[in-house]
Amino acid sequence: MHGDIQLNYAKCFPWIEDDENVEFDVETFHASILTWKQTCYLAATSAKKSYQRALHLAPWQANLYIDIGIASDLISSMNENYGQDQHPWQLSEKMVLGALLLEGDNYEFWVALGCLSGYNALRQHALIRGLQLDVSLAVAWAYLGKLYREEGEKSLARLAFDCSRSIDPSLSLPWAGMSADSQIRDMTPEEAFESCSRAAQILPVAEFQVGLAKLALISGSLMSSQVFGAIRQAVQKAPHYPETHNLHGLVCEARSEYQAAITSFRLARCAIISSGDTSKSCLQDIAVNLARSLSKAGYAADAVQECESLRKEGMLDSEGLQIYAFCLWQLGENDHALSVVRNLASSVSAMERAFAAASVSFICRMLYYISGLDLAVSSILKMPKEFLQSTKVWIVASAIHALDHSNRLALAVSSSQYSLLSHDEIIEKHYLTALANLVKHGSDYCLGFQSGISHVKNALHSYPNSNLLRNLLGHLLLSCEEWKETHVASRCCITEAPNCASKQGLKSGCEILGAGAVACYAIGNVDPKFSYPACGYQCLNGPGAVQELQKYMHQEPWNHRAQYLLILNLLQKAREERFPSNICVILERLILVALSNEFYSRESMSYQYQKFQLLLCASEISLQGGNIAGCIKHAKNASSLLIPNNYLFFGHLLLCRAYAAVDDYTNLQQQYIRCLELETDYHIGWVCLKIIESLYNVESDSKISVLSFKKCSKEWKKSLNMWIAVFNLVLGLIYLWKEEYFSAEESIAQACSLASSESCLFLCHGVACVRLARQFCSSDYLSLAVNSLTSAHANSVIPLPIVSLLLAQAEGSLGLKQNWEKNLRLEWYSWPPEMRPAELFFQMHLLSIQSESGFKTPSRVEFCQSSLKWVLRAIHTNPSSLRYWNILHKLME
Amino acid sequence: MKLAGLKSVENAHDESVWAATWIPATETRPALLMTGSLDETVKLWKSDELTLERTNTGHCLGVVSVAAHPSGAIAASASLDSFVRVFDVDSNASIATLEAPPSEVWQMQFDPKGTTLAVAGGGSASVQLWDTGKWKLIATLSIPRPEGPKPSDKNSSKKFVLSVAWSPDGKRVACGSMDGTISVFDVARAKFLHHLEGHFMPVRSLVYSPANPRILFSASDDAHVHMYDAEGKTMVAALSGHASWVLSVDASPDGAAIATGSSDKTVRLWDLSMRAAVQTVSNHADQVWGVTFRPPGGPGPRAGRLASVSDDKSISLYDYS
Repeated sequence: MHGDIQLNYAKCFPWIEDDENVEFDVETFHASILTWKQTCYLAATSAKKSYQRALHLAPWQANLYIDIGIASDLISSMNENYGQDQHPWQLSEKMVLGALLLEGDNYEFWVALGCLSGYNALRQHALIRGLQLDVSLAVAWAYLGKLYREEGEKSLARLAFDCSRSIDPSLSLPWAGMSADSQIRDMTPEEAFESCSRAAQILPVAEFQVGLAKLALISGSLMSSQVFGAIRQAVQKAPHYPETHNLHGLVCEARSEYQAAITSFRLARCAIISSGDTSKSCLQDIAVNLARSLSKAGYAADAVQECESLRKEGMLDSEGLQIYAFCLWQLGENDHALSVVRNLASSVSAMERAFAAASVSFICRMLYYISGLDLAVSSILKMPKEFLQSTKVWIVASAIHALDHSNRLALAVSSSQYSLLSHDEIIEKHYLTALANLVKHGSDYCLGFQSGISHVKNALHSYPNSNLLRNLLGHLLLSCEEWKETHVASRCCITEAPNCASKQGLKSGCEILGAGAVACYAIGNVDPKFSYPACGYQCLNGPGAVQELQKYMHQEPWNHRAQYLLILNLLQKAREERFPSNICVILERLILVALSNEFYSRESMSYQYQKFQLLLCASEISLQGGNIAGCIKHAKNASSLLIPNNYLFFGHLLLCRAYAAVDDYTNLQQQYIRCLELETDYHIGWVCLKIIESLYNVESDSKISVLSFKKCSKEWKKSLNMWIAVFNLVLGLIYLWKEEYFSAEESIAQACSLASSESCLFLCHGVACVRLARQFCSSDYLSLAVNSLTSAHANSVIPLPIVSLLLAQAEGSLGLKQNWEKNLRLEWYSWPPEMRPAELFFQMHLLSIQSESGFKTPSRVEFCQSSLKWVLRAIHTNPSSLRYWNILHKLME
Repeated sequence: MKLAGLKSVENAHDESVWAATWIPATETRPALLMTGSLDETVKLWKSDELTLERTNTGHCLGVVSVAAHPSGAIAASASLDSFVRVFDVDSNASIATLEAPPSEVWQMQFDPKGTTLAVAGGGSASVQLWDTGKWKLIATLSIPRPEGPKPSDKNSSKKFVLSVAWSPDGKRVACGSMDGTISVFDVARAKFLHHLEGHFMPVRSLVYSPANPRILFSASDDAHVHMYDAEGKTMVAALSGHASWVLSVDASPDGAAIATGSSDKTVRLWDLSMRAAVQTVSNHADQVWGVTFRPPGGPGPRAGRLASVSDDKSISLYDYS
């Protein structure tokens, strides 16, 4: 028992780095390894002694012989000259024989002999003998497989491993054997990795773990935490083995823990030196790894030093050269870096294909960064064409091509694009081409979104399941000028997929969804309690967006962009629902949390802009909650940020509203003038300012006119008419408030002529006309009103309330009783039941009286109850109207 | 009749001391105490001071048994890996290395004339006799298998031979087994004579009385020492008193007393005329693996000496009088 414990201790005693921060030199490393070995050795010896005591007491116990054998095998494996001992009767072997003499029919002993013996023939015999005793002995099969493998009998080994695995799948060795045989088995590296990881899980010994890390390197799964855990343990168990440290370093590097990686590589170097094995290639590998980690960790100077020492020994290969050049460039030694790049370039032709491609693309990039576009272009042109066949090079070349306005690379890039084969490569190509279109077809201050969008659309047609392209399309649609297509943006992104939040391309699907939902003013509320969706685009993802974003944020609580988008979407929702207090409270808290994020203290423009938006949200919430002081505080905060005037305008606009709310006209005046000074490209800003101007009679030298409005946005070609229409509508509304009906009608008519598909404009026009008609008893205006209202009715997606009522009145006034009746009925149905106003009931009463004189059609709505009931309901809904009471009196009499 | 402590060496070995015997005096030197230990060494000690004369290394596992040639010139040590090393006492030069299959070397004893070395053969259920001139195996005395159909290997392991003893006249060899039986062989004819029964647990040590070639003492794990008439197949007496296994027994040169070492950590001296323990020495801190009386003869003090070795790594020397 004591022996067992000691033996396991000897096997498992971890090697621990003395102090993490101690500078490692070879001596201390060597010393620490020695102490570790010593401890293990002592434990093993003590185990052996314990077993001997036990054996001395009970020499007839056969298994004790085996125990001693195993322990002495372990001890001899710890000795340096393991395997060189040519003694014919190895101790461990002999002990096992002793056990076998006692119990010759014990197959476990045979297996033990098979493991411990030094002679392959004997081992094979022992294992087969064990199998004869028990054919389903998985362990024996496994060791037999290992033996055959060592002897090079791959197919036999494979057979044995398969046998073993089928008998007992929980045995680690066959799995390891399988992964080691991956080449003959036609396994992919992934499968090999899987089986090796199983082996390492079942039996975590250092050999399997190191093998696992190696396979991970091949199959590209260095990031996985299995590998990390395994290699950590391996470092503890086999610290004297340089490969362990090297792999540990690689794993750390893959996990972006560069400091740890650097330490590991240094340890690996120590291990090599202290083991006395100074094969140059190992040292070189480790030095290159070390240099790379150093450069990744930002120690460019150290990395350069590492590279230089390599160069002195003449072992700087192309990877080293790349690192060297990169670090020199980081240090600003451009000339030196260039010369290194030239060195590298001269050696490209001698390289392997894949490696050459990497080098070439690296050279191109370095040239671009150091000497600029022209030199990069010319060197690509000089380069042999076959390099462009490689995807990597092609991508770099086409990226440079995209930036090059003079199209010098067009031929080279287009001629070799057909060499791209894989699905992903082609998608990437499209991605890049789309971006290139953005750059090439854009003007100086605006990217060519349209051509980019059309390219992505085409590409998406061939690859409809590419998230990358989808997200790009969404992103482009969103950032496209004039925001004509924001409603489509969120539709083209997939957010259902489990990894939708993972960033592919520039923006993730969720981000685009959130941004798209905010960009669409009408959030697409389906509950008509709050608003009637008059937007023809039918962007119906609104409420869903808030939920999606909540999911997104739940997935990634640390993601400040998710938080930000959620806040904006919630504000949109709150605004649409007239700022219910529950949402406002949530928003206030969310904004407070978001603003405390340290990101927003950064200088970067995008963060400042986000902060600005958040502050405006906070301010808006305060304003709606009646907390004017808070509102002004937030808005002032926002206005003091360093962001373009374009946006800053809105901060001051909000200040205007805040001062207006407390009747502080002097400050209002100031802010108004500030807004005029700042100017903005955003029409909505001008529209709002105009409303404020007229509502509060702000005095200023230059009032906002249609002309000044037009001036602010030359870039807007497609949607300009729409915006002018909106502006005219606002002007018209202002006239309406001032009861200047003629001017109002004129402005709104103009608006209608500019945007002929907006039902709301026609409704307003109809209202103005009805007012005019009533004022002047003019049937001309009546017919105008009828026309407009009819258009409004025709253009709206769902029946807008009031349209039909006005139409009924107008047509009724023109004497068309049939139409009056019809429209009234329509009006009844265009209201949601709980929102029908008193007047509607009253009108229905009129309708029912009118119809009573004619013949009754019970199916009609007005006959569902008596006219008295209609009046009663009208009074019930609005008891304050004297008119209804009077009618009631009349009816009662 | 009593034992008086003379000298005790703590930490005489680095590990448990498992075996001890006296190398008889020669003309040039007095008798030496030879001890074997788990630390894989054999040490020679000079009496009475117990100064270390030499340390012999070379075994790969713990030393389980040591034996000295009656002439005092050569000695043998055996370890768990079943190598028997025969060496010249004075020069430590190896004379022979006898190899046996593992688990087949336990106690060893030279015959009184010094021509044969008997080795308890452990799992082989036999005693090997080696010629001490050519170091060749001359005979294997096998314990006959019990009757019945083909015995399984389990049964034969029950006959694991742990101990061996020569009769003073050199005609008989007795061996003790794990199942408690003692087998007596006629050496000259290499023939199994009979079993001596009475013990039911392993017999770890055997010794013939120097005074009477028929009397055999056996020490067993059943905490008893038996006294047999080896020829008459009868048990003369059973000596009880130890609280645990009796690991070792030796008879005094005068034949009047025996000493035993036990895992109850004591050494006992038994008066054969009274057939009772007359003294219990408990200076060891762990089980006592070996007790051995110094043979008479040679220069130097003539008084009786008893040495005991123990798991507590120490050696003790007593004056026997």
